[in-house]
Amino acid sequence: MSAWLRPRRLWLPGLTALAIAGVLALAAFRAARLEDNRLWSGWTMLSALAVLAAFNLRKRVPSLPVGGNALWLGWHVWLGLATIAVIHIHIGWRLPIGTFSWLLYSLYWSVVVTGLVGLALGRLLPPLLATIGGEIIYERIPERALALHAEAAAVVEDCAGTPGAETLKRHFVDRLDGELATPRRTWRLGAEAAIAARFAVLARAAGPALAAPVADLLAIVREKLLLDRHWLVQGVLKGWLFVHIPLAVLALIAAIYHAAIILAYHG
Amino acid sequence: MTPRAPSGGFTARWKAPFAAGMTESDVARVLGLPLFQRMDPVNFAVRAPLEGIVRNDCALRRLSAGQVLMRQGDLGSSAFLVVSGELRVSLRGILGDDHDYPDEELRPESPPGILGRIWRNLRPSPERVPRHLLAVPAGEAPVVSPHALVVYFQDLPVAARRDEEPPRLGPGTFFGEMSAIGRTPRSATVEAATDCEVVEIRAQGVRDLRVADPGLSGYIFDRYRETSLQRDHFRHSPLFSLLSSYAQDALRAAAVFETHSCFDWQSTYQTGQQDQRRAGDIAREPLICDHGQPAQWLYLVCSGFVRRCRVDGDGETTLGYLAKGALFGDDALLNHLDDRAREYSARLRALGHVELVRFPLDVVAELVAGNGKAIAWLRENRARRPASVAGVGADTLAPAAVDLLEALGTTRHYNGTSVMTIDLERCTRCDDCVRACSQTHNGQPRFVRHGPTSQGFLFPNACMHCMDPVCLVGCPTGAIARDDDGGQVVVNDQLCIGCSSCANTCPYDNIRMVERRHHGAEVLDPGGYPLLRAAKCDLCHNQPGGPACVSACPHDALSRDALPGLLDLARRREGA
Amino acid sequence: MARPQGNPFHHKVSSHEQPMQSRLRRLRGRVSLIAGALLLLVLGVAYRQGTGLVSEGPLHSKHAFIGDDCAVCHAPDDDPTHVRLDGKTTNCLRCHATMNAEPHGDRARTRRLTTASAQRPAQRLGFVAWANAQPGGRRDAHAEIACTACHQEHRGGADLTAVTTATCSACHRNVFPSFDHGHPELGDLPARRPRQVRFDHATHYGRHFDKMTEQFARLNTDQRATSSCTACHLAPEHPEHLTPVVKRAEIICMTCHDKDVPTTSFPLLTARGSAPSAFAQLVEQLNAAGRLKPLGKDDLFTLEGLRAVAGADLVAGIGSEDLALLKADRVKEIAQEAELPPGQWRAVKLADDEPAALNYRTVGPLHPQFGHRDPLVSGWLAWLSARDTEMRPAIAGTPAAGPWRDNVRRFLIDVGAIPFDPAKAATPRCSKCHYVGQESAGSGLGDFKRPADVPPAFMRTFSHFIHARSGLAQAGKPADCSSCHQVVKAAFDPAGHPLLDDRRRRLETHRHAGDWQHLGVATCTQCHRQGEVSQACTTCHQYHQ
Repeated sequence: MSAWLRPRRLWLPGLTALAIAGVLALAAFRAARLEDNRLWSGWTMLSALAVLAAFNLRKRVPSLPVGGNALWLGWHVWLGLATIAVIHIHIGWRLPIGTFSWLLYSLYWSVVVTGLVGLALGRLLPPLLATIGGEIIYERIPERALALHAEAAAVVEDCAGTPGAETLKRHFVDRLDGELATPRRTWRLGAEAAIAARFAVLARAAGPALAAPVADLLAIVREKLLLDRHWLVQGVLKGWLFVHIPLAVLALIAAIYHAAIILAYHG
Repeated sequence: MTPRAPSGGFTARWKAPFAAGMTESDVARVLGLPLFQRMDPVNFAVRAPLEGIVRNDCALRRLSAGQVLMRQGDLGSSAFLVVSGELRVSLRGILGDDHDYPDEELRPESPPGILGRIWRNLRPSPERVPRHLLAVPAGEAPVVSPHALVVYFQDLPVAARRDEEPPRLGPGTFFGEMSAIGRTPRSATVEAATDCEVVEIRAQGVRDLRVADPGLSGYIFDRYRETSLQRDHFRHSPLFSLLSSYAQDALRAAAVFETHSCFDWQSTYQTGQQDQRRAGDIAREPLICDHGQPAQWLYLVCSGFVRRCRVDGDGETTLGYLAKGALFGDDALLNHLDDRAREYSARLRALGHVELVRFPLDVVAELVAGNGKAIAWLRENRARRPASVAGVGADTLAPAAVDLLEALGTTRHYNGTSVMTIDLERCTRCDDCVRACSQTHNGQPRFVRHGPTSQGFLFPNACMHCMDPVCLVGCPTGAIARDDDGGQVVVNDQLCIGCSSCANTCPYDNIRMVERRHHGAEVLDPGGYPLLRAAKCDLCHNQPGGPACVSACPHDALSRDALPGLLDLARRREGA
Repeated sequence: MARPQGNPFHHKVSSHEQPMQSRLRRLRGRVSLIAGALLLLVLGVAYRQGTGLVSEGPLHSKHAFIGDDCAVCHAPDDDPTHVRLDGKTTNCLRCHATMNAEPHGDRARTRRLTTASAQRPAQRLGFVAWANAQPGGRRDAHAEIACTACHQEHRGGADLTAVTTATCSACHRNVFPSFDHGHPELGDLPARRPRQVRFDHATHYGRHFDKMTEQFARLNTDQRATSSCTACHLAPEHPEHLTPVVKRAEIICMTCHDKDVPTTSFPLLTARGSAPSAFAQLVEQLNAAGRLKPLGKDDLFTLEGLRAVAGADLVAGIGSEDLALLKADRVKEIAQEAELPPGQWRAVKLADDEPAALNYRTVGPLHPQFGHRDPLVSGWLAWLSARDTEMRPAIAGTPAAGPWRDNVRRFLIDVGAIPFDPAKAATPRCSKCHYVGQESAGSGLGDFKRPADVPPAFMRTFSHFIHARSGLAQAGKPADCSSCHQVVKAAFDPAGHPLLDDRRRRLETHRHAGDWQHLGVATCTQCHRQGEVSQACTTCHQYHQ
């Protein structure tokens, strides 16, 4: 396992393992006595889901001394993993086939999987951002891209009249105009070399007199590349929650509905 | 924009004297003290004459035995000169012996504050003396055995040892200047051992005295030479204590004092910000001695901090810092004794206000030459350090930490007691920190997740609650001040008139002027300009949970700490 | 008021500066809200429309006829709207009433058995036993087991009857880890089903049949006559039969034993004045005991009297003239026994020194309709057995017991069931094969009828069919009876048999040396073991009777 994916609080996985062992033992104990496991495991699941959902609430009251978000995230992840055992005890270690049961089960797993994916993204993408270089706030990227476009336009305009300026202007109109104005969610593997090659050609075409403007444009295009990559990676870092949270809301609603039905018909 | 004066005389140096009860005879008496006798009134500005300083910035205090003059932890704002009697430096709590402070008063707190305090008290952090009050020898300085732990006080010209009597401050002692100028907490409690008289000089007065006349410096140095050098440094130094008293006397006589002052370094720093950041800054720090330079002196740090660095291509890498009591040049001394080339093994630069004592190396060599124990100690000391003179240096720090240290030194972040650092290799850019700050401050975040980066760490523009909060300088209403409780620098919205002095002064752009709103609408002054107020991080000083940004980060990426703690971040990453 | 340019704070109003109004977060919140609202809507509509979304899954095809009517299983009869979570046992039994829900036959017996086993702590092993030993565990029969504890519906086509070993062991403590490790010996399987005839396979299978194979081959139409088993047993066609059905005795046994069942004459009544027959004496004892309608001295010499004693069927064919002759003691006819017509009553004198008697000549062993079994003889034996069953307990310990026993024995001799002198049994008659007159104590009748089966508690019907046709053949072994059944050479000692009761043990003493080897666990574990054929409890044992 990559060093980046290691647990940061080692006592949490230990505690989770203990909890899983405990619920499994309880389930086996009760099964040996032909006692029903569904009720207690169902309530445990619902309580666990409530605690997991409370993470979102915790974020809304940052000044309360109830433990930092890092600790809460740790609990969130490991409690979520522990619920895998509980839900399977609840459904009797068989895949559900009823419509609603299947829906609830699928929602549950989709939340777990997206959560794990998000966790991995949160661990692996920040170092990637560090390799990209530069640091810019996500919401400022579009305006920065616009500014770069304006800068490039200004560079091109400033050298109007100089021999070779037409080449630059054409290049701007053909390529840079479309490339620079808006950020794009793309990595563009190998773009550094492509850009360098392109500008080498451009520099030759524009002539030695325009070496400085070409260099300026190159710097602008390079920065745009960084912007695009930031736009992509930071967008992913922000975007995965768009999947996880709505699914979690659905799962919670379905779980509460399920509990309501059970309570209505119980006894 | 300078506010218009409400009445004539506003621009005068003093509006009201420091002490109302300063009579003419008191003034005359003070002027007659040796310290003031050394000063030449001619050197003083018309606006702030010597007599005026004495009259308006000094106060003659009379204390009876047992009365406390200053308490450890109080924020300093004045220096003292002992006229008669003796004061005792109380060591309670400093050397970790006992923890009862019967004088500690209970402060009223709001219910959330009480809850917060209860919560904090569940896990009390271990008691320890703040680092900046201790001259902890590190790096080049000799390592003191823990049994002989010596405490050097930054703002007192004494040193203390656990197994000795508490040090005394006798007539003529001048002390408390460092914490007055830096507005840092007092390093010890000083109480009257006998009935005594003390002249208290407030910080503005001390500054004027220093700037105008060399007399204060000269006085301090003479005092140092007479008493502190022998009593505090020679006695406790592992090198000098091995010398005979004759040798020590000779050294005292030969000692030369050196001061490097840079009280307004922040303005040069700011202008430096406009240029290339790295090249200019360190070069602006006064050079004490250079790497490879033929060593003429053996340096002893008396106050302040000295940066020890090595040349690294075009720039410099910081290897460490020397503090009060540290020695530099002993390596060159040993080389000289071994008949090898004696050169300084590193470059020294002064940070802020530094006072040094330097001894001629030849003299020291002569005095040490016949002393086997001293030479043995020199050799032992060198053996404890890694060999390379070319400067492996910073031997206790991992490479990442060294670079980080370098970066922080460059950006003067060593000044901060609560530097916000975001580990960019952990940060997912979720902005929970900014959101939490905003939620805690009525929707107005007190920082932006933007700032200088280095080694994969981001240092956002968030108030660092500096050791030397220059933002306090110039505030006309005292709206920006240190919080009594924790020492955070806090803006009192009620008193702020939006003059931007603090924002302009802050060298790190950490204070921001925001528009005042009244029920959502802008408020304009008669000139049509919106009224502003200063907004900056207040470390959530009135919140039970501590800084919201720290507790809001889900990935432990954001931390707030002073310099040594920040290096732990780099170590953490190394170990990841 | 002027701030230097380049100040990152210089009034840039990006959403980052106002993080509470972050566009992305608001969007995310709205997506969640809308998705949640949609889901609630869908769930609400589905709930109102029926149970489609509430059911855990489709019913088994055998219950498909129930459709969507949850109340059939989930609501009590008196309140169909009160649908509850778990199916009710009473509802199951509405259709499955023939299935005995109480495994041991009745509650009292269950309580006795489970309490007894609960008091044997030494037999408790394993986690299941430990778990049930804790407070609230299953230690007695008071905890009713609902049908749903073992049978889960709403799992589509999944087998409803599949019950795991673990479920069984919640109550039935396994004192052994698995079938192939420590299951107790099965006992004398082939002998569990007591036989109607005294027959041992050792002598017949090993000795006699070899000689007669050719003859049997002629007699058997079954093409698979190579196995001697099928000489007597029908090839196992019917999967319900534990023991293969024996072919008709007339086909098999009488081929050799016809001489053991010769015709005989049965003297029912002797002439008046001569020594009374065994029947007469029995009737007298019955009369004295008040078991009969009072009979006069000569009532036996009348048809009415005989009918009153034995019923019309048994005395049909008796002529009144014969009775009159007997009564008057004027029977003159002397005939050889062999001359008497079979199946008829005749009052004759068979020898000079013998009294005249009303004789019945039995039909022979190869009668085309009755085979070796004369129905009248069977009838009279049944009459005797009934009278014996009545009288014996009533007169036990009294002076009448001895004479009654003797008379019964004489009647058996008279009817030809047992020879006069067993030691010299040239014609051993019925008792050669049937348990007649074997007991030395108690009843003189002995066991003539097939004894009642030992209730096969928990024993699922073993299927020869499955084993012969598929199991053994597939395992590469010859599908032959001898694959599992071996004739043992050592003598069978009924005394040590755990399953036979005392009476059976006494009878079995006469069994010939050797019979089928006890089928033990080792026979079965050739295939029923870990990794091969299933060795779960429910493979052999069944819960429902």
